[in-house]
Amino acid sequence: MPMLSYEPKYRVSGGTLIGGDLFDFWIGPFYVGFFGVASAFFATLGTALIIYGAAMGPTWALFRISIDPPPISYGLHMAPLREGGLWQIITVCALGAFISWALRQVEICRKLGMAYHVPIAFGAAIFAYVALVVIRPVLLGAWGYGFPYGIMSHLDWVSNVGYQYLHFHYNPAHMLAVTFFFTTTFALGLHGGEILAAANPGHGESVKYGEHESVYFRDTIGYSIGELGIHRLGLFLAMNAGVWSAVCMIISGPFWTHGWPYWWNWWLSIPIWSHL
Amino acid sequence: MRWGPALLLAAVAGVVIFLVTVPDWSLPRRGTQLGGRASSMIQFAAGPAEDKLNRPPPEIPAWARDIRPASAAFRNVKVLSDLNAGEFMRLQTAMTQWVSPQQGCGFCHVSGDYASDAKPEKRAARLMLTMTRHINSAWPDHVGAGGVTCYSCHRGQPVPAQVWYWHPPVPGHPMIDGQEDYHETATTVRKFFPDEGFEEYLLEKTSGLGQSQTPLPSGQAVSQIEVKRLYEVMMQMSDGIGVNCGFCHNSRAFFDWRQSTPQRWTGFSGIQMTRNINRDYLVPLAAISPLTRQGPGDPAPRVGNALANCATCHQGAPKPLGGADLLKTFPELKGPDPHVALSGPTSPPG
Amino acid sequence: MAKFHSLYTSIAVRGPDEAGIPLADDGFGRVGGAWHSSWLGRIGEMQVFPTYLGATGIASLICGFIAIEIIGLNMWASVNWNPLIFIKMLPFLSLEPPPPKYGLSLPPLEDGGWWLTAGFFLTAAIILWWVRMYRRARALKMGTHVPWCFASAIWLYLVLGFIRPLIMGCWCEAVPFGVISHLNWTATFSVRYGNLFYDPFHMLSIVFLYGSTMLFAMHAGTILAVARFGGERETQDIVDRGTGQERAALFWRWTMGFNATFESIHRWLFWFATLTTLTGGIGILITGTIVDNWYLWGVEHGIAPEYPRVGGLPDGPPPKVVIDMRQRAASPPGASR
Repeated sequence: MPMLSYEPKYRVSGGTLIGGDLFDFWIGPFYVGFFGVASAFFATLGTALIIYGAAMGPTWALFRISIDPPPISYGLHMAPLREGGLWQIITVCALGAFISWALRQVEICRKLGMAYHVPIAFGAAIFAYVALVVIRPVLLGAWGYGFPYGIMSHLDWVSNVGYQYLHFHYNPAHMLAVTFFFTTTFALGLHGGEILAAANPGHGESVKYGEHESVYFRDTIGYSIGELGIHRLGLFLAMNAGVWSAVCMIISGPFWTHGWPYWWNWWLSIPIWSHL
Repeated sequence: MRWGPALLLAAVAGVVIFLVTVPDWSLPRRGTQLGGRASSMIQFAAGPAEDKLNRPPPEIPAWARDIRPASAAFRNVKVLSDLNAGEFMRLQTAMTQWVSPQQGCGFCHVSGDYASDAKPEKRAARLMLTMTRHINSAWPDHVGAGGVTCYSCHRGQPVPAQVWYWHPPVPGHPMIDGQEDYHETATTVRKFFPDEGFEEYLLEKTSGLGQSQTPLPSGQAVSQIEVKRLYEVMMQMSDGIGVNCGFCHNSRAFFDWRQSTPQRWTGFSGIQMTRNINRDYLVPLAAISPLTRQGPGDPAPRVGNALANCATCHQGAPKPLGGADLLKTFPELKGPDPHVALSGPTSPPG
Repeated sequence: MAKFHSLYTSIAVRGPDEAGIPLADDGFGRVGGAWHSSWLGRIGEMQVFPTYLGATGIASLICGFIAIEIIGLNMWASVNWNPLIFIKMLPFLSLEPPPPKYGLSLPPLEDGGWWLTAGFFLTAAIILWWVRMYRRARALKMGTHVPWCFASAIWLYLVLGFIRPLIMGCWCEAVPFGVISHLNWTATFSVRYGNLFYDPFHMLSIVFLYGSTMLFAMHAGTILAVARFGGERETQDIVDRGTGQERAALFWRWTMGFNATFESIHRWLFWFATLTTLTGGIGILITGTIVDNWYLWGVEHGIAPEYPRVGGLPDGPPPKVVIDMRQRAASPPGASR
């Protein structure tokens, strides 16, 4: 794949975290770097193990393939390969791949003189994954609390974990996370739409810039957060969606085992209105 | 502007401290996996609160041996005429311990005339005895060989802690939209939720076939309102017996018995048994017993028929009282099932 | 010397108040004197107002106000106007749609009529607001992309509250107005229709929802990372590519092998957000109308994984359940409508 027209001047050496010049090159459009090698290694190994797991399983139908965690009776030990050990190794590969990917993004940022917002934001997503497959299982005492790697099976897991708490909508952190997800999507629609509206004003019109953008939102909703502000807001909303999702799962099980509706007893017991 | 960040930090800290200290939380507990590895059908061990509620019943001391038939030794014996006097007195002492330890024998009996039926509580006790024997003989599917005694529900209280009350629908105002009948004065969510689900599924014989058995519509399943009530009663049932939905179901297909656990059979018989108890014993009880009661935890007396749900006996444990074999020491509560005819309605009022 | 902060603005610059692009058609015109907030200025622009108030805007606000008042006053009346109980019960209070027996006919006020009225005014408010969003875009000679994204959200709203109940023949199918009650509706809906995770349009909608969140994190993070190069001036960079856009594009090209441009990334954002509610609406619309049990649909189409059966289980349900099921199949509960 050829380079973009302006790319050559940016392809300089430097910015690496580990390895110096050893892996400081590109393969096609992809930057390699030490963490590129690490990512490729973990991702390839993990994918190969998933395919191996599928081969051991009952089906090759894409939606029905599932690599399952060990039974919780194995606790925090390594389980036999066919009894969930494969899942454990794949999880290590996934963590290795994700963290290497994030660190590779850091190297690319350094090379391009950019700040680190992207890898940090990705870190929030990695945190959510770590919360589900490491933090929560460790707190509960068994790797088997992680989710299976399968398209439909991971949804069955989500469903059953939700009903484990009778009515998961009552989980306060879940309410917060869902609100952040919907608000993020709402703000995304507004932002994407607005830039496109400014840059594609219709036949015969000239492109509009910041002043028009601000006026559109002031005219419609009274306030315009501005070009920089919308990106701050978007990053804030998106990261909070991930963080509160992780929190809602960490508290479910380790710190609350009953139905989530029943957690709200304290609201009914507030002295000022408890006997009204 | 230096106070800004400090104020924000204090507010956040305040919220965090409130959330950590005020609501109930638990510490990590052991889990038991009932379903397959991928399914996460996992039950958590009970906590100290449930353990405290489900300690074994108090020891009842032996009574002196007296083999005279009870109906010979005492007057006006109707239900327990198959016992001898020694067994009879031992059971009477036990019942007092189980139901009215504070109030003593005088809760049911007129002092000086123990044969008198003047107090409605004594007549109620007769009905309760036939009910207990009926449960133990007709519902081994649910209560097993260990069975139940009065203590299973009463736990030392005249009115069991976890009951619900049937009452006629609250008449609405002609101009205002009616609300769900939440019990506003309740201080626990379990008592706060409305009772319509209990009415439909634990008193009436509404079918639980809430989901369609076919992928395409074939008119089989019910409206969302009934499914909402079913969800409510299932939720209250699960909380009442201290388990979650995965104890019985795989939630991707609630209806499918082949994906459910063996516990679902026990749950099914439990629902049928509760309907039997409510319809044939607790509703007629209203004709005998005063309708105004105040149970433990009730801020004010409640009016209406007190009826049973799963929590009445289970009190937050999958096996009430830790699965204790209660009939071992009280085999006289096992039967016979005398079907004493009593006056009063046998279907819900209204 | 102050450092450049991408996450907040350490030195807020306040220039002359922006009166806004002059408009040809004025209506009631721009209202509100410009108001400045230094707190807002730390994250975004300082200026709040003026805003535009035209006929559709005012009509929308009035309809919306009526809808909110209907909902709120019914709730408050139901707790006998007690403010403390109102706050305590607020999460649980609800304005419910009519029960099944009314079908699509007009119910009495206290039995779903208020819900229908509030729904009507809310829908009117939303549609009028859409018109406002459209006309403001036209007046400023801009594209109408924002209102079209909004239209997708309105599609989901109409499916939930109007179109699907219409097809199902019953207002009772619609969503109540209430915090906890609308969550109960969602859970009940999924149980009733055999677990919505198996609905392929539900899957698509979630893909777009999570995808939107991921994209906003990626895009916003990128722009903030190149803010030091003026990367937030996106429309300028679209027509006259600067080093901010170049670095942003190269970041992604080197990371994942391909990249967007400053304009095309906004097309990704727009479509992910729009498709979330578009596919979601379709998923709701076909539930109950075309498919009655999504899990069984999934089994039929070969996507449901097989799990080993839990041990110790008899082969089928208890005999009484079998009898019930046969009876139900023979005479379906049509009377429950």
